[in-house]
Amino acid sequence: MAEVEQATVSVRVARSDAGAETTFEVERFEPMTVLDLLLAIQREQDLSIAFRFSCRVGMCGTCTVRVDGRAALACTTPVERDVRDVRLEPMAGLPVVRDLIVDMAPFWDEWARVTPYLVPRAGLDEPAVIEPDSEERRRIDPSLDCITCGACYSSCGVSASGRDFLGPAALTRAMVLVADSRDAARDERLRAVGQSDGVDRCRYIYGCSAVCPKGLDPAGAIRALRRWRLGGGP
Amino acid sequence: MSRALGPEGRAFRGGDRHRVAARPGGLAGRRLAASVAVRVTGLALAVLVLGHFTLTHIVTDVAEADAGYIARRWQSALWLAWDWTMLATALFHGAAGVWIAVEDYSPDEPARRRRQLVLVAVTLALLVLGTVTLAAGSGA
Amino acid sequence: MPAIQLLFIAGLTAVLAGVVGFAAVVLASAARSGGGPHVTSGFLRRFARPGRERAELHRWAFYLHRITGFAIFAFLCLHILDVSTYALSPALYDELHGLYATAPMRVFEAGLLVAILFHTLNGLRLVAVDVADMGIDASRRALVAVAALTVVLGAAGGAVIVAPAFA
Repeated sequence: MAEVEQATVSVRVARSDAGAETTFEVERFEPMTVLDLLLAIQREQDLSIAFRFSCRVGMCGTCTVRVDGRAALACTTPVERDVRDVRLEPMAGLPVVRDLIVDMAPFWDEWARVTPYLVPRAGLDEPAVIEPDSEERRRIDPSLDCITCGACYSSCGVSASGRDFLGPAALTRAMVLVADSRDAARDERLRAVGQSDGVDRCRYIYGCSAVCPKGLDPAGAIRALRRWRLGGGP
Repeated sequence: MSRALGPEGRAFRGGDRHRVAARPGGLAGRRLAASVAVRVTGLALAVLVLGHFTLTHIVTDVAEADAGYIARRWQSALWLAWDWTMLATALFHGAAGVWIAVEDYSPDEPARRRRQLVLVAVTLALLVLGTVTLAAGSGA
Repeated sequence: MPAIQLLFIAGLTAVLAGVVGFAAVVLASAARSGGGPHVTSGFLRRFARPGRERAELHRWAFYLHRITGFAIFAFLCLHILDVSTYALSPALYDELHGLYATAPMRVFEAGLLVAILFHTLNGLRLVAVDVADMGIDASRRALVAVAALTVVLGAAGGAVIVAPAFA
């Protein structure tokens, strides 16, 4: 099918206020991202539309929204030439503050529960280094650089339903630290992820890995934790 | 949805030394054992149930699997063992699955406990009934 | 129609009603979660762009696995009851068993076979995901194989089961 360039894009936005406008026609320009759509709406049509953004370059993890049902960073999601309409909703599974803004507190609750920082072992060298080409680093690498955008959380069939679940982001963080040989809190973390709302709540939906804007693999991290739980560690 | 909220409604005070509190009543051991058991029984059932279904519906036509068929089958110790193992593992595996679904879909604690109690009662009753059927049916 | 058969039909109707009700609960929860399936233009658009939403098939697999599991368990409860009539009296069992030869029951049994096949094959896939550390693409390929096998074996087995009704 030949691509027909659309002059305007019809944007449907979930709004909190009953009387607020939900559909906007936005004039295209090239290249265009979902964030551009939101800024154009705010600038030209409705000052009251609420959404978050910060860095605009896919680094801070602030602008996560659902685009046509799929969680994504607004700033790095292109609006392609042949797209006629777009539906924007806030992230799933979190309380909506207003329009596209959600309260990330439940997400941070879970993050905190896995002791999300390195607890250094006694007697380490200063500085304690993991060689970049070591097996350990290669095992950890696919799960580093999480920007805590919450896209995985929103895409998880379990977290998004509001059920008790540590969630893909927290579990990935746990895995990274459990795998770190400099860390002393391994047992504590494995206990945390082994509880009733830990790895056993994962339903193998892979929504997390499908949607991560940084290309991380939470599903793989969860699989690793399931294996390590049986053996007491990596 | 938030648990363990501090005074300002947030649990994660970024930068603070935040010790993880183990969730009260941690079920790590039982939970792990149950999830392993579900997988092991599932593997066994793949053989037991598909075999059972093939024998009673494909190899034999379902209309021919009558009382006489059962009488013949339950004369063999092998088939009795197969059928009882299938009964017990299927009830365990199925009840475990429904238990998880009840956990996921129950609106509150009392409802969840009630439903799980009913589930366990029904499952045990069926296990007893099935065992008695096998014992009476083969001994008679 | 013998009383025992009526009783069985009542039980079967209860089982089917229960399964439909449970399926409704599962799908309602899926719709609420928002991460669940969307029957919208966006959903269809996602499927038109392969590779964009690689997890979508897995979502359906999860819901189907749960629904078929419940259905099999519900039927199992009824099945244990119906086989237990043999211990009461083999003649009573035979009286009940006459139902199984009828066309509607054969169709039901074929449906049960499909449910058992999907749940079993998908369950084996889930075990394989953990044992073989399968990532999203390997898992999706396995899921397509599960679906294909379910359809092929289900159709073949279903044909064998239903055929005598139309002989």
